[in-house]
Amino acid sequence: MSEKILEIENLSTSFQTERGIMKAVDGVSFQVKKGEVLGLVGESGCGKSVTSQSILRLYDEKYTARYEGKILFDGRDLLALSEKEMRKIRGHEISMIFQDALSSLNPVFTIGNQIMEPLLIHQKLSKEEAKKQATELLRLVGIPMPEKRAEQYPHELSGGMRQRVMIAVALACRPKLLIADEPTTALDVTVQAQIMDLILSLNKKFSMGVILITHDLSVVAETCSRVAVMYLGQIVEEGNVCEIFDSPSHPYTRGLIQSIPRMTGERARRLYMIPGTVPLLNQIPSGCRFAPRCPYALERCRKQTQELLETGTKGHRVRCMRFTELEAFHREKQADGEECGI
Amino acid sequence: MKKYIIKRLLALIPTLFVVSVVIFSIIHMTPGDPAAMILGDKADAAAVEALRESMGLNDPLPVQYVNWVSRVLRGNPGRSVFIDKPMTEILKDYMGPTFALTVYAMLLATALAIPLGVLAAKHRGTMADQGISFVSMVGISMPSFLLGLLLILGFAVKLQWFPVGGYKEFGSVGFFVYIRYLTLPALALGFMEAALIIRLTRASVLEVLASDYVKMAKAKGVSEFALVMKHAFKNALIPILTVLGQTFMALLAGAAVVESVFNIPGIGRLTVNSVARRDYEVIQAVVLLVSLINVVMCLAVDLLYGLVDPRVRLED
Amino acid sequence: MKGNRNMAAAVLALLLAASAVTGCGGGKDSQGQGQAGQTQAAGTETAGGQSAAPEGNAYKDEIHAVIQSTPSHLDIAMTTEDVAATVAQGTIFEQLVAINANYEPIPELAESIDVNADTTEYIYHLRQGVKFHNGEEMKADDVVASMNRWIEAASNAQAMVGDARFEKVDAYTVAIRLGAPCAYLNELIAGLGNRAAIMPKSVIDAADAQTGIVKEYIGTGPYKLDTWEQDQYIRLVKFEEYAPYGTEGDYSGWAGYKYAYTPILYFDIVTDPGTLTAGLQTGEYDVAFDINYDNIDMFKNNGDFQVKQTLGEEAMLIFNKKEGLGADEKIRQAVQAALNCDDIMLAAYSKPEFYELYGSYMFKEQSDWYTEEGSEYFNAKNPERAKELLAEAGYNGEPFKLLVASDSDDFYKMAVVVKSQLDAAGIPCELLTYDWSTFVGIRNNEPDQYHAFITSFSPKVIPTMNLYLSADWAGWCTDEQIQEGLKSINSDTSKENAVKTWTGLQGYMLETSVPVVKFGSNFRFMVAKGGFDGLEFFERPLLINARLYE
Repeated sequence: MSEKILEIENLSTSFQTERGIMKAVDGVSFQVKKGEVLGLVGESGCGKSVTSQSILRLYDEKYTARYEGKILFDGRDLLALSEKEMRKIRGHEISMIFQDALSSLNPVFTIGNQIMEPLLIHQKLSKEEAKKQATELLRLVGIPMPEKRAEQYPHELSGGMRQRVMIAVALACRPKLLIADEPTTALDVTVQAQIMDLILSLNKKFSMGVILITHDLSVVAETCSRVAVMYLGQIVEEGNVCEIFDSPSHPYTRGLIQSIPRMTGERARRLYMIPGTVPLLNQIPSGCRFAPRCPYALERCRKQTQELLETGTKGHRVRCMRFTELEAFHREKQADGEECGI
Repeated sequence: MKKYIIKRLLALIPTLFVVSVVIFSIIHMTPGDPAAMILGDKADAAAVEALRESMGLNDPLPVQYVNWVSRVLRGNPGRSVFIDKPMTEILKDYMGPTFALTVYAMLLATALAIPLGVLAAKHRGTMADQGISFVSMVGISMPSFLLGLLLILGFAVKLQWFPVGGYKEFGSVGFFVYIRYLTLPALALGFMEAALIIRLTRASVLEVLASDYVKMAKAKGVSEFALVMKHAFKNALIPILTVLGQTFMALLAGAAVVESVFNIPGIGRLTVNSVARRDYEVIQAVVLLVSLINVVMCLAVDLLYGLVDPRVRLED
Repeated sequence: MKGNRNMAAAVLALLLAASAVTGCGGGKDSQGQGQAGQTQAAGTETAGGQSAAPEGNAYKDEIHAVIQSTPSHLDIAMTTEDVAATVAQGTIFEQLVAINANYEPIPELAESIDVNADTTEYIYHLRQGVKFHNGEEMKADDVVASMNRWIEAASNAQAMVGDARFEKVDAYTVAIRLGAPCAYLNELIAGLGNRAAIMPKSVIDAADAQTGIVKEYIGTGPYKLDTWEQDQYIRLVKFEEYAPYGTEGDYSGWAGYKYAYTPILYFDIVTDPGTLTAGLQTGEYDVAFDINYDNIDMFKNNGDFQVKQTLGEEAMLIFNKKEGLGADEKIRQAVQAALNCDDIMLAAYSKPEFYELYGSYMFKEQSDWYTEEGSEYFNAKNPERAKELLAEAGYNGEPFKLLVASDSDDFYKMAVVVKSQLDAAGIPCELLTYDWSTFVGIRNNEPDQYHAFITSFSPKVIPTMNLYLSADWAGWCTDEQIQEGLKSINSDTSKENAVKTWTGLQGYMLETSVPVVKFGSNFRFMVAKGGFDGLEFFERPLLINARLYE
């Protein structure tokens, strides 16, 4: 049983906007164990990026963002730290990589310079030392001719290589936790695979925890050990990957899985789509947030606020008061041989 | 790179040609002539006519144009009817003060405006930001001659810190007196541009601060100061640089007004006086010179741009 | 990529270096200290027997006078520009005769003059030993060359002397023999707008072939031209070999004893009126003239300054009598009848104490020639009479085009008021405003474009010198009666008779011919520091004998 490195308790992040206060993350809790790969999935706008950026407190706290709750890392509550102390954590104990490597790398500084930066800040190395290490890191992430590449600028590299560079930057100080925010979304499929392989190999090599944020369930299935599904700022289901994929308990999760296009089966069948759209953050439905789109929603779903409930299987929780009934319902239908359409 | 510079410089030729035709036509087709200016208002028409004839002003325009251009190409940029010096010396004498004034104004403007713009961006929404925005609003709205007169009233007449006007040669009075004479005019000239640069800097810095790479830098643990001054600044500077080239030309043009108010014998004053007295060849020479400066300035800015932003390649 | 960077940096450095060179170049102020004149300490005796300064007071070495525009050139024989005369006349250049405060010609470079009984022959005996600024002595050849050149340049002079020209009699005597009696030749020489300045023959011969302007300004006056920094200042310094004429202090108008008490004279060129006023207040400038009328009171009330006043010019509307509406006598009479000169002058000069209204074309101060004949037609303010006249003329409502220069603030204001008055009187008036050079061009060369223009004239010694009565100058006053009258005045040896002729002529002009409509005449003001001695203001500032206390 490996220890927890990150434990998020009831995290809420609200933003001050022209249209009022928007709560993008509302009472999110989960944990990450050492060396574990946790997947955080959901549609665009569900709050997964906000959650991850809240961990590192990247938002402007003076005018825009407000955090509530606790983020325990290595025994300390990150939300209670001063900015100075927080800076010591960023890029050092917890690192982050982003979706668009081209816009995330500073166009006017060389690759080498950008990799050296965290080394110079956190490890107080000399310039030559840092340069050597940067070259090593480039080699580590699989970039050929690292000395030459180190002198180049971001726009001179291909998309895949840039993403590798980002990983090198993130890994420079051997962080305990890596947050990867949609690292492969912008890449071709073949490159995607390479990058995910790299992340996994580094995860194994350094026992580095990974939070993998994605909307692509297939990637989650291949790489994560556990997964948390988010909808409209809340976690609606979390558990082992196999568990979730075999028997999803929340209607939303079911919908997501159903939406994955299949290689086998009838070609003529239409792609499944969850009806309706994600509401705006200032129009959050009362009661169950998913109710307006849920085919199983009843009156009591709309009236009562839903809590995360234990399902009985270890580590599997779901935010649906009807989950037991629905479980039985779906088992019956499967037995009847009907296709599982939600 | 060499090829690039040469190409750009070669493009000067058609530009100057077009400019020469345009300016020649405009001033020669405007009524009024230098002969009347030489002889004075109360001279009689016959005398003026005779003078026009002897000055070649009655020749057909294309003939006069060809005469002028062929002289220029042979290295003789023309003659002033009213100033008894070779044209190159005239241009050099008058360009000196204007250039000094313009460069000084630009230095003041950027030295003041860029830090203020960065400050306003960093403290967006606070009193400081609003104060700076107010000042820049005033700067954009106030014409340079009005500002010049106010500066004279305040700093030269009341406080007597600076002279009322005039220009002293660097060689004869030394650096400090030289600068003293140029300070109020440079302020009057540069203030509007400074205001524009403040706004541009502020917007540019704000935009850059909201970018992904700044977010990434923060995620690496970079300090607040380094975020602004290292990561944001260099990028924010890029649009400002493009503007600096235009700023220089705007200042060069605006110098005419400031030169009149502060009594500085610069190229702007020369142009105004020459136009008033229809000193054709001076006007033509000045316009060509300024066009030349414009093209060279654009080239310089493009080169500078290439220095700062590695994404820019200086080929065709 | 690195190589490209270095290249770019090198080119940039080059550009910056080039700018630094042009910025610090020039070599203008190279005259150095020049005449670092001595203060006239008590007890020093200098050429001309000039006396020392009053006990205990030292005078300044230099005076800074302000002029508000750059003269086109200083060849005052070839131009009538007022600012050129302010800088050069009497200071650099002198004449055979000069005008005193009573408008009488007084011998200057001529020691004595013989005129025969019927004024057909003038003999000038030149002063001897008069030096030019270039060291040459003034002799008859120089005078002949200068005077004949002057005649060629001025149509008024030609009108008066016809084909006669100056001739050398001997080394120090010149004469001119005229075909017809010419009673006022000396007045003409002394007072004409084109100045009869005496220059060395060698300088005249070397004048610019194209423009006719001399290349050096060499005269006989107490000051010589030291430096002319274009658009900055004109600097005159004392000419050591100048010997003043007559007794010290005996000076009137532009004639008499002249001496360069102040060794250095600066004419600073300040075009902006705000800067000028500020400079006067801070003491950067010592004397200025023609400052904004609005600012005069401020200086009048300030004990540190003195404000002097002198005759200004008479402002008038001149009809284009060659063609168009202005060629019709009745219409001219109608326009004159319609105008209210009080309003016109007030608009231009803002306070009644700054101008005078009367119909005489010659100034009150010129008592010989001043007359009120025909004054009832001046400032008639009678729009009804105007309408009658328009009907008699068969006026068809064609717009009356009035040409005015926008640079002249006062003329422009007058034009605006004239327009509103003419509009109200039934003559729709169109204003054509242009910059000065265009104005002159159209006025001289395109008479089909306008019907009248506005300008002003300085006082003339004799009425025949008034340019607006000339048949050749703009306006084209070809009225035979007027031209005959002027001719007879010029050749009338009896002053009394000539005055009678003039009086009758003025009556005729105001009642019938109306070649021009006079609005009135203004005063010019000079503001100077309180501590000035010998600063005169007679039509123009005269700095010849001026001294400024420390």
